[in-house]
Amino acid sequence: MRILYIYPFGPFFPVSSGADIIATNHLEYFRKKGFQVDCILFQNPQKTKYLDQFKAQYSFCNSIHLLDFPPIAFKFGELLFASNYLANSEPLKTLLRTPYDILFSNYAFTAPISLAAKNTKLKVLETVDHLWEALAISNPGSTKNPIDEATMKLIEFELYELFEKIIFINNEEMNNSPQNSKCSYAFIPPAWNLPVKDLSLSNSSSIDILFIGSNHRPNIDGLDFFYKNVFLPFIRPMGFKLTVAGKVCDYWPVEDPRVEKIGFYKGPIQSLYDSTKVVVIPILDGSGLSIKTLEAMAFGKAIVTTPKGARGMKLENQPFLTINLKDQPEEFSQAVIDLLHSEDKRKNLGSKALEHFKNEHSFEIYAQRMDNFLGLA
Amino acid sequence: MSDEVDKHKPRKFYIINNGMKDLRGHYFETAVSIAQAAKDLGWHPILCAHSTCETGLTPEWLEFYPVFRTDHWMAGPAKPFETDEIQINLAKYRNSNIENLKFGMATFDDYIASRFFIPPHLISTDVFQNSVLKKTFKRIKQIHKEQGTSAVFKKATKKILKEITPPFIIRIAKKVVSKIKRLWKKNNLTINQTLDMTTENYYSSIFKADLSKILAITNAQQKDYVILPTAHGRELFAINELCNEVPTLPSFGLEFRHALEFPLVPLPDGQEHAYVKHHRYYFEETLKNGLKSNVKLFTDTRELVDDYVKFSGMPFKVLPIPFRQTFLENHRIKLPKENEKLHLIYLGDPREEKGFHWLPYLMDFLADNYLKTGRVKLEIQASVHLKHSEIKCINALKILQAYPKEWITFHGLEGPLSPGDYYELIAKGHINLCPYEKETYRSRSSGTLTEAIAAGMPTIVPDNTWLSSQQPLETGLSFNGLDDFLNKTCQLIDNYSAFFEKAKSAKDEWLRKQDPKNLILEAVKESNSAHRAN
Repeated sequence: MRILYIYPFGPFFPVSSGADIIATNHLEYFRKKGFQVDCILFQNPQKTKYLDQFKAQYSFCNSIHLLDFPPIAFKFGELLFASNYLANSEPLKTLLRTPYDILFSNYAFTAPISLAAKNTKLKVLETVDHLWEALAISNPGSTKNPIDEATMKLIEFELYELFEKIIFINNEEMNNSPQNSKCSYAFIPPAWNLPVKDLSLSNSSSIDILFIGSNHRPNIDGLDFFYKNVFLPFIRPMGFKLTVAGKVCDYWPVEDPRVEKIGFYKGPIQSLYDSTKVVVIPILDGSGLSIKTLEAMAFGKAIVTTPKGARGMKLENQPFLTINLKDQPEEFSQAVIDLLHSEDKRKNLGSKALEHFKNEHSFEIYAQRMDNFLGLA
Repeated sequence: MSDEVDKHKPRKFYIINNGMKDLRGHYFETAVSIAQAAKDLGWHPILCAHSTCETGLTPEWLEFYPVFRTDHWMAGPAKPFETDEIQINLAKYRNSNIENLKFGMATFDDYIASRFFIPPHLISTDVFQNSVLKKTFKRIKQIHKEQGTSAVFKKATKKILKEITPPFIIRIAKKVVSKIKRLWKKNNLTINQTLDMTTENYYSSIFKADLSKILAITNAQQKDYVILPTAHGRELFAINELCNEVPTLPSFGLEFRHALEFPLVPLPDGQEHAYVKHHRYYFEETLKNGLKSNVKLFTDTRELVDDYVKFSGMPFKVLPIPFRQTFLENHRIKLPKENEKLHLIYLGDPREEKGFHWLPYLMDFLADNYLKTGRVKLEIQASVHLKHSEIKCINALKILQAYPKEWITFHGLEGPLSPGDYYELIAKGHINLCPYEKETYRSRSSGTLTEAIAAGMPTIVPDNTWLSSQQPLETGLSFNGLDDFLNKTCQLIDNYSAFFEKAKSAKDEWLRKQDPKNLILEAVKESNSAHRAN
């Protein structure tokens, strides 16, 4: 089985975003199936330096190509333009002459490549996020504008029609997309595919409350809202500390002796989670599925989050606490404080998270869902 | 969304007010009242406003898009043109649909070009492609294809040179020209006053682009209807042009509500106000191509119809004046009891043409016999802006604020009134004062008078105006000049109950006449008759 795999944001090693994690799922799946993969990556200046490590990590691939294109901003039209530019570039034209069994692409703006792949039997799109929602909240300085969102939505849904099978990581987003009889759709939530060693649920945790986030705007806004409306008035006076990790630290201008900003964490992420009592995910915006939540669940942590932090997840077993932060900041703080005060409650909630993770987001389950949808069982 | 799917959905009724920048005030009230009526008549209403308009405060049932970057009046774009990434060219948009892409009848270049603005630095990646020679050749080819050989020679020198000249040279040239102009003015030399429509046409093209976008994303069909309750000539020009390019557009109704006279701002002989000048140009330009059959023109008074028909040579019809009648139904005005004060209200924007600066005269005139005795009180809408309002109105407010608080209450000092507060103010009133400027309101309508009559309130209006022609018999008085206004106000107060009874009985007829549903039925009837004629 020959696969042409397309990922538009550079080498996904080291993993630094939700989209990266989803992409690792794909390649891991192809590796386990023993498929021959030609991997196309778009240029990403921040990630290009990792190309060799990426190649070493995914040496099973037939070939790995990093394609160059004019410098672009993070806008829908420009991303689409870049894809079209690459679809007409010589390296890709040459590759597309190969008769692939599957073209597997991430993000709807890669549609020009799908259209150009005339010799391919099956074209699969992993939507990752609803771009019309994700781009509107990701661009620095952008404001959510209904007209831009509506226009991008229309265009994104049009582009879906250039694929035959479409994967969503969020059930609600799949249901809200127009269902075209010529395409088939599936909700396949991503798996956490990074190594998890023996989990520590001990009481020796040195971090009271942990938030990990990139410089993605919803992380900055959500953290700021949590700090001002929950931590500062309710939790800080009780003597607890907040630890913030990830690039969000560089973009969040708070200086507080009771807040530790550790920036991009270079050590194994598990050690950070192992030293943590409660994980908060106070985000108020987002599209797709919250990979942060998934990650904390994989490490069996007690999580307090918002409906946006819980998006795309099944909530029947209540694997974490979901509270509307904007409307109920006091309830949110009470939930965090209760967990900080009770090791039993933390263990109980953490075990439920881990259990739910294993049942819904383990790699085996993921591979099974992919097999069924792609007809490869 | 395919046309097939849309066939079974209710017809869409677009209300476009590109001057609407917040969700309150007259524009908003008009828009929501029309939308509500459209909904009641089985249409699906869609409201489109200025791009800076706040969101989240419209009724849930109303689809709302703040899309327009130019407003209907004189203001420029809200943000630079270049920053708007998505720009839909409606004609090309429809030709580059996904089916056409799949079957090779359109390319992805076409697809992107008809939906997005792509910065030039991305398009010019190749040295040869970017070369002056190549660009010139490409442009000549394009002009030749679109407009024929003669156009190539006509436009080549001017346009191509402009396009291939580096931006920094254009900037330097502009600076030099403006410097010369300044020197010219300084030396008291006259400048040839020709009509330069460059900016106006630029605004018109932005309006056209924004309109294309909204019609595309909402999948507008021929069966739908678009109304502009306050339109400008540059929008007519853009719409007519768009209808020429795309044959299957909805029907359009454009309502011109501004008078063609500006008596308060006289100009030297031979000069015209910008509004008149621009409209002459746009009406003439529209007539050159012919007014499309799916574009209809309206005003809201018989007097304005006469003026516009004479001025433009195009057909105009009258539409009713819409407002949210349900708000008034909840506020029934009652006759004040003996120990209650009679409330004289002033509604609307505090403007000179609306006689706001006459109110201190009225206070002085009423002081001894009516205010000191506690017989009457003034309730006034006083949203005076300390920077932007007219100086006479700013001064008038200062004077009014010096009177005892028991004599006068101010509403909206902090900013425009919310719809709820506005209708509450109407409900407080017993007499509506319209000390409006006679010449200005000869042909223009007045929303506040419309609402006051609908509320069953006696009114004072300038004579020989649209207001006096609409004032139902014996429901109020009309005046001629300031002294008469003061005397007539006293006369109305003294005989209030008789006027009140008449106003109360005239109310229902007025509500029927100005029902927003009638506006929709009238407007749509016009477009239906045009379709039949075709």
